[in-house]
Amino acid sequence: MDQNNDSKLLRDDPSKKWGFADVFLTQFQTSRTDLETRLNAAKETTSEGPGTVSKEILDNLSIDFEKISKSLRGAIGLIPKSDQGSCEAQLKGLEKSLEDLRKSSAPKSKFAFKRKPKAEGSTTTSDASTTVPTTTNPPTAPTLSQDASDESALSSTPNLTLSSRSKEFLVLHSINGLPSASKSSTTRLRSDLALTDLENCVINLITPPLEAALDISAVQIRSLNNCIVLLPKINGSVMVHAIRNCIVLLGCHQFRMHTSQNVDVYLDIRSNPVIEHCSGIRFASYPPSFDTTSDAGESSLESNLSVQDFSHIRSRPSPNWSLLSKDEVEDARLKRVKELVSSGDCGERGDGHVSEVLHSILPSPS
Amino acid sequence: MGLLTVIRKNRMKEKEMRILFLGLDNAGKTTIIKKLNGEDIMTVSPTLGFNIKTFIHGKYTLNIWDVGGQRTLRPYWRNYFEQTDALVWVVDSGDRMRMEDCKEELHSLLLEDRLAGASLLVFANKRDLQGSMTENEIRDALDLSSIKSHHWRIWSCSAVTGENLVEGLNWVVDDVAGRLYYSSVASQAQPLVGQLNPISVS
Repeated sequence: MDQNNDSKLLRDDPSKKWGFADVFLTQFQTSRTDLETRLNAAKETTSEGPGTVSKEILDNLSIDFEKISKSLRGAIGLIPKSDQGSCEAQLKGLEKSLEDLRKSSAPKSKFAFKRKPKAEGSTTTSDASTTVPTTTNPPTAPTLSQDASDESALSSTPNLTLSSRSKEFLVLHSINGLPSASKSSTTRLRSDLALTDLENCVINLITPPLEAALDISAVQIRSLNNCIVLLPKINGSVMVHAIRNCIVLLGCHQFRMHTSQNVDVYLDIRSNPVIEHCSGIRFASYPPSFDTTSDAGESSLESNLSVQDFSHIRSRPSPNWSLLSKDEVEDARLKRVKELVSSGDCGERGDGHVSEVLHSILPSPS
Repeated sequence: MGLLTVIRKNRMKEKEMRILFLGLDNAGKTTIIKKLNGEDIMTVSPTLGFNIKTFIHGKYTLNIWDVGGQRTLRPYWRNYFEQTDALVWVVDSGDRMRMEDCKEELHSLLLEDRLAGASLLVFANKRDLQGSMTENEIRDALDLSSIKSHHWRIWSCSAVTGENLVEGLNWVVDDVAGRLYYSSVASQAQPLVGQLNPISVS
């Protein structure tokens, strides 16, 4: 948080510029050394045999690596060229050892390219000959043995949707197509959630936290007006299309937004969010006070949010988005969002109240 | 005819194929390629511009071009058509709302002269998501059955689990090989390739 304000300030004041560089470089070196130590530790485990480093450790390492390289990208121009060069070289080295570690710890990947045996080759070719446009039955379906039991469910369950509502508080149980609890005991279902055609609604999927069995890994948001959308941190991509005057709060791997206006986005993300044909979009990091997951607080490090505006591919900053300033007004607003959401949980207030409060909180055309 | 023979012989020496990955944004093009190449897929960012990957697959060298699918980038797709041997069209199976858009973009590509000879592989990605569209639904939604101008095939796959990625790639490489390097694969697969031929446009 503080760092965000600092770097903003420093950008404006050249005399303090290298002061920032010192702070940044110290921070960078600390996190780099830390990652290096952990990498080496993990490497030692692999020498004991393949597959001893868990995927989780590897993923954590690469997430942290990505964080460091992102912080460096954010600092470009604020640190001396020579330091930048050496930082980049150090990161390259880290990336390489991370890659090596991944290779050595994975049991021979089954996706590796190797020459396929003759026999297999000929069957593939024969498959190909049978699927020239006239055929309807792909030969792939029967081979999915592990999914076989799910197969019928897979083709018949609709994806999770919340659509065509107005002036409502919507929570997890409002979702159509939610799998029944009995089914959820063993497998975590990876699902895709669609929010479409909602007006003057508050959509709260963070309190209570999602049931462990439900793993939302893709979200589509389309045609929303005057809504507050609160989503947890999900493990996949989010697509937003045609929304206006909304507040959206979520965490994801990839974020894309099309043809939207006047939206405040609170985001926890490690890649660069993309906007296209948008205007009046304001970004901020996912507020820790809304974070219901165990790793709360971590997101505050992500201060160098860099948004790519595909409608404005120039070196000048895009006029279509800005960062939300962190001040008392903003804090007060988030507090009101939180109050509104918790009042919705009790369901004590009437509909009229909702849209009234929404109008006072939501961003509007300026 | 003489020229054709020279060209064929020339390409045979290198055994290279140029494969173009296209599709709407958020389909998973970059993720599929990274997964195929054994790279980390946790950190994939939306593609600004394009990526190129070269890797060896069997006896062929694949030059893979992955161009971003954002609407603003789509007009630039045409810059990558030249000498494309195969088009891989990646679809997000969960994105029901943009299937129509997806179909239109695909069919307009197929009208392109410079893609006329290319094989078409449709990857129906994200099949690991509960409630995503099935292979048959996507085949119908994209009206694939109406495609007579290209060899095509749809594979439903998942870039996250890796399911069917190699299988799909095998198909497209074999299909291109059957066309480009006919004489070298003829010994193994001549009769089958013979059956594939009748779809050529006249």
